[in-house]
Amino acid sequence: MRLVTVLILFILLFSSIADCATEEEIVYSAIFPGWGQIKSGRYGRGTLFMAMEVVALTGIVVANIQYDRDIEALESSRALFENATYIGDAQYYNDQMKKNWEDADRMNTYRTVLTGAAIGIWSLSMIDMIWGDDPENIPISMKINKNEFFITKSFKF
Amino acid sequence: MTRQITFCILMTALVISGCSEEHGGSPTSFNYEELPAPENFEITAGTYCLTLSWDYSPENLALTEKFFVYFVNYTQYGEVLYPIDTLSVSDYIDSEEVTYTELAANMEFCFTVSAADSNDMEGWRAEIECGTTLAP
Repeated sequence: MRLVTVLILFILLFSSIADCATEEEIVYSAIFPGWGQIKSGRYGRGTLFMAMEVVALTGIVVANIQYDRDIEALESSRALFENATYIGDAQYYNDQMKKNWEDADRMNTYRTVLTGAAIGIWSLSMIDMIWGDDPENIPISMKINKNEFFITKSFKF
Repeated sequence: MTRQITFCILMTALVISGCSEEHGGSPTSFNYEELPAPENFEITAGTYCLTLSWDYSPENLALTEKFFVYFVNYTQYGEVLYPIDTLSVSDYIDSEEVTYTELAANMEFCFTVSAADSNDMEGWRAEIECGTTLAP
């Protein structure tokens, strides 16, 4: 936790000396990876970072839900084991308890790995914003009117 | 700008704190001095009655406080055990024996028995045995 906070402060401090993106765009990237890239016109990278972050965060949420279910099953089998009066029941619930604990532990590992991946993607996005290449002039423009929009692509020969 | 930075830091802290561990250490392995099943469990049929008898080794008898007797009923869901008797281990001499009378003639009844310690922890049950009562 402390490491993450230090990392955030470190990146925000360095954002002030950034030469390829404005401070505002870096803050957008800090809020959500890829947002700043899209704001600065690097749509491909921005979309990639955003997609990766969404996948990682979705994975964390799914793993967290599954982890909570495994914890409920673990608590249930633990209570049944502690109240068992027959050796056969006790052994059965003990096996169940171990299996549920292993499931919960595996989900916790997935969750940790995905959290690391989300932080990694966020860090990469920030590094890209601070030290990455200048955005290229993309030869595509879009104009939106009330009932229509125009997409223009220019070619150089 | 300050609000955006605060938001970013708070969101990160929330994501990390949302993943708190609750499952603790691995459950301890099952470590209990389990009582074995009674041996030589058999049923002797009589007129309107059945006699159940079984043996139990002296070293396990020291840990045992009582024996449980179960009537076994076979249903569509499998075997259902009904506890019908609790016998004190103080009555045990060379073997344990109990007779159930006033049963219907020519009917099959199934039973199993087990031993339990002073904490009411029941050991393994004997194999289910069945006996058919005799008509006079």
